[in-house]
Amino acid sequence: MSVVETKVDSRTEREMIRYTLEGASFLLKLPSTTVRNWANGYTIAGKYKQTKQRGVLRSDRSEPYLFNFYELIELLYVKELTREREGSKPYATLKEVRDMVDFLAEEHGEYPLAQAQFHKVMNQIVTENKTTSLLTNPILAQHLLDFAHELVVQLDFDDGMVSTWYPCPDKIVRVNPLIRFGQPIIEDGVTCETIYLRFNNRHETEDEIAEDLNIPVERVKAAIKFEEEWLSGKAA
Amino acid sequence: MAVRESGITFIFDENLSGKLAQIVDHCGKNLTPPVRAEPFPQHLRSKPDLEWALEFKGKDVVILTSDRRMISDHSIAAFAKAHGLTYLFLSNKTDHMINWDLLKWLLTNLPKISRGLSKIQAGTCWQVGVDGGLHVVHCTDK
Repeated sequence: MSVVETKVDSRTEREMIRYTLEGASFLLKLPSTTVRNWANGYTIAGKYKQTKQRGVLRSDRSEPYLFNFYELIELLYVKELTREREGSKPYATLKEVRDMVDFLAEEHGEYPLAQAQFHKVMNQIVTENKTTSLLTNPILAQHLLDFAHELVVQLDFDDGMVSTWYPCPDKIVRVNPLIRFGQPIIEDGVTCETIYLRFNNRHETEDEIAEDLNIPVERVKAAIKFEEEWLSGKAA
Repeated sequence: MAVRESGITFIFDENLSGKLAQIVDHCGKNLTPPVRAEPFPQHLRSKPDLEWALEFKGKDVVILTSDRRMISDHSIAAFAKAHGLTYLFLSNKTDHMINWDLLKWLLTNLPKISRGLSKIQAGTCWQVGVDGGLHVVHCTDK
């Protein structure tokens, strides 16, 4: 009984903290209009009629400009699936992602992409050669499986759901919704934004910050590098 | 409601230098009511929010932090309410101050802020303007 309660609490707690549109846009390195359109849908104005496209997220979007951690991770998947890779096309179109989410949501409920099951399901689809309306193309299915392997190294799972995201390969910076309200932190629990603010705005040196916070200077540098890279990524 | 005689202890989040906390604490302890300042305890930094919230619950402390760019203020207000914590967001304008200017601002405004906060209940979230005025942050934006 108590185990069940813990699971509910930890999931609810992760859903409680909401990223702003600006915050989600920063973390995903995407323009805020793209984040909003992917999450909530958008309208294409044609010559004679308007076409409404649904959003990708299947969770309750009663607050369209706020995103919980799971929604953030789902949008990360959407970004990674639909982005162009060096010399090759994206793994999937936005429509294919939307169809895939619909398909997975039937069996796994809301946040299907933020579940550990996603990886397992992808594996099953490919290895069992399941023919579904969304994955009739085996090459696409194989690409998606490769992608799931690629992304899973950036994520930790707890109780079958994503619990931590490591945006950089060195894993110094992490995003855990239960620590520091889900802001990017270094492993000492100090937010990257805090370090960058002190370095950039308060004109404290890296050594001064490291000494004051009693942390290794390498982590201070990593936090500054993360903020600079992400800020420039967002601007681009 | 009467002003609390014991004063308030401000917990300086890491966005404020520990040296600032030391100076403010040194200068504020003889004020009436006293203004105390401490850096956020290092051993609690990497703990889940729920765990450190318990450490501060029921104590006359105010967590002083800068405005959160990424996180909705309302969700932090909801967290503060749920755990009986008092949160104070610094104005965005203070983010652009160098430490010397920030120190001057803190020494000038914290006594006034402290008097204002000593009349309010724990479990609330506030935004302080650059003039030292307090504005409540609600748990929902609706």
